[in-house]
Amino acid sequence: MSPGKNIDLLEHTIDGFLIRNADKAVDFYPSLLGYITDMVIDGKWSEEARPEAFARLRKVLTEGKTWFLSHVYLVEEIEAQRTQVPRAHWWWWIEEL
Amino acid sequence: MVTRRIKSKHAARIYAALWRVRKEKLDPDKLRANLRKLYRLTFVSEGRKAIAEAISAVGEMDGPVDMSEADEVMDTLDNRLGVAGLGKRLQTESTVIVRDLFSLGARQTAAKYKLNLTDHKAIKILQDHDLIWIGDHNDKELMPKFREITTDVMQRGYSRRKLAEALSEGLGDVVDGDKDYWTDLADHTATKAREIGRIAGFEAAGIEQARVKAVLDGKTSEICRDMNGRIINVSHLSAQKEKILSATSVEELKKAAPWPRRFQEKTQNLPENIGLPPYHYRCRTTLFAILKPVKATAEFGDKMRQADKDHLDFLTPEEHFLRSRDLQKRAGSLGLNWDTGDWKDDVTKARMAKHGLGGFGDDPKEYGKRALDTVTGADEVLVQVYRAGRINAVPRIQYRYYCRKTGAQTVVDDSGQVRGCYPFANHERELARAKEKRLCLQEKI
Repeated sequence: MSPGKNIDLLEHTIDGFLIRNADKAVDFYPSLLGYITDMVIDGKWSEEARPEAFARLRKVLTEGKTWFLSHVYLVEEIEAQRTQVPRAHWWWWIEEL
Repeated sequence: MVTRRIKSKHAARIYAALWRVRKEKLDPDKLRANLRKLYRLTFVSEGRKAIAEAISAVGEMDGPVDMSEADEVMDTLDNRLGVAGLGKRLQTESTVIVRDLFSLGARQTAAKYKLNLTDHKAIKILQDHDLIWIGDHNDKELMPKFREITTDVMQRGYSRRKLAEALSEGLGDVVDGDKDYWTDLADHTATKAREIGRIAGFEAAGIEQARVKAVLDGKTSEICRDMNGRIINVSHLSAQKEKILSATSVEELKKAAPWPRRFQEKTQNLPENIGLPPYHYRCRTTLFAILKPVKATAEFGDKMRQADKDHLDFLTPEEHFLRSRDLQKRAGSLGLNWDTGDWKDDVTKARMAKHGLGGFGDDPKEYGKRALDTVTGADEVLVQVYRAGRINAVPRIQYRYYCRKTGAQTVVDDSGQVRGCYPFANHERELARAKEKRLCLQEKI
């Protein structure tokens, strides 16, 4: 996979957080967060290599905080999955001030 | 080895029976449609005759119209459309269809099943039950409406000619408006005859357990969704069948086979009067023999809510496993349903992976195919409770399929609707995360 294609996929994945679909909140957003996590673990994406994209991700998640937090089962789902990662991880960004 | 040989011989017999049924063109849908048509047309034609007779009776009377004539009109209508008239006529004309439906149910499990004296008695009883329902419907619905119309026209002091017109119009409306009832009754009789026949087939073939299978689509009722996939002992069904057949009144019929709105408990807690379809009017749910019992295990995730665990615990691991397998089979044959309202977002999601792993592309057809391929080729299945985002929302069960080959997971709810297909970057890690709040299913081989 070429780096250019990876960058596009990251932007597209971040775009996913702009969709506001309450009906699928429990599955859709955690799977996006998980996707980004695994791509970073596998060394395909990194905050260092794409600071602008990750800054945008942080912005999208924090700006959408009210909407995300209003879905109790989504929050529960994220909470269940993020306990193993440090507070600075993007699993926590939704709750950042 | 011996057991396996018996089972395969047994299975071969059932396949032979199914083949024969197909060959003889005993199509359950056609039989049901025929019964529906027969009931509806008979009622409409008898209704017309009843109206004509009632009008003619009024016309033949001398002197001013008075209230005592209403009773004569009512008698005429009751004779035609009551148990003695319409009921008996329906019974006579539907005998062959009801018998075929019964034997179709029996022969779908027991090859070469021949109806015996007990079965003929059962068929007769099933038809007698229609008389009970017709009598009840007449007493509670038809006759009060007829009386209301006749009394009203009499009280207005209409001329005989005017009275005849009012009767014709008013009674005609009642007859037209009541057609649905007869369609429902025919459907109910058809399902009941086939399912009770099926129990006779299970008994003859020595089947010990049966599985409830609902038709899953947007019209599936809540009770059918709750019952779908339940594994019920044939002894339970046989006992209920006997209770149904021994019922002689509306009250006893309702007691022997009530129509519950929901059943959200363990199958082992099924009341003795719940198990045998139909579960409501126009019920499409059927029973299937379990020829080869499966064994499955189910493990709860560490971070699951107790309420979700309790909800998933309504079904045994085997029941969950068979339900998930049914959805897989359907994904590979008829396909699963989609909510068209979801499509816009689903396509957006598909677009997200456009430049990624070469997966979803931006073609909706490709996305749909990927979603179904993920279900049919799944390596793991998790079960989750979905609550529509609201704290008090009615919980629904969903099956989540993970497939390494497609690099995706597809979520399907218990009504057979695809809720979404999501790519993953790492199968094991994604699965491990999801397992925290879900039930992990596995077949025990």
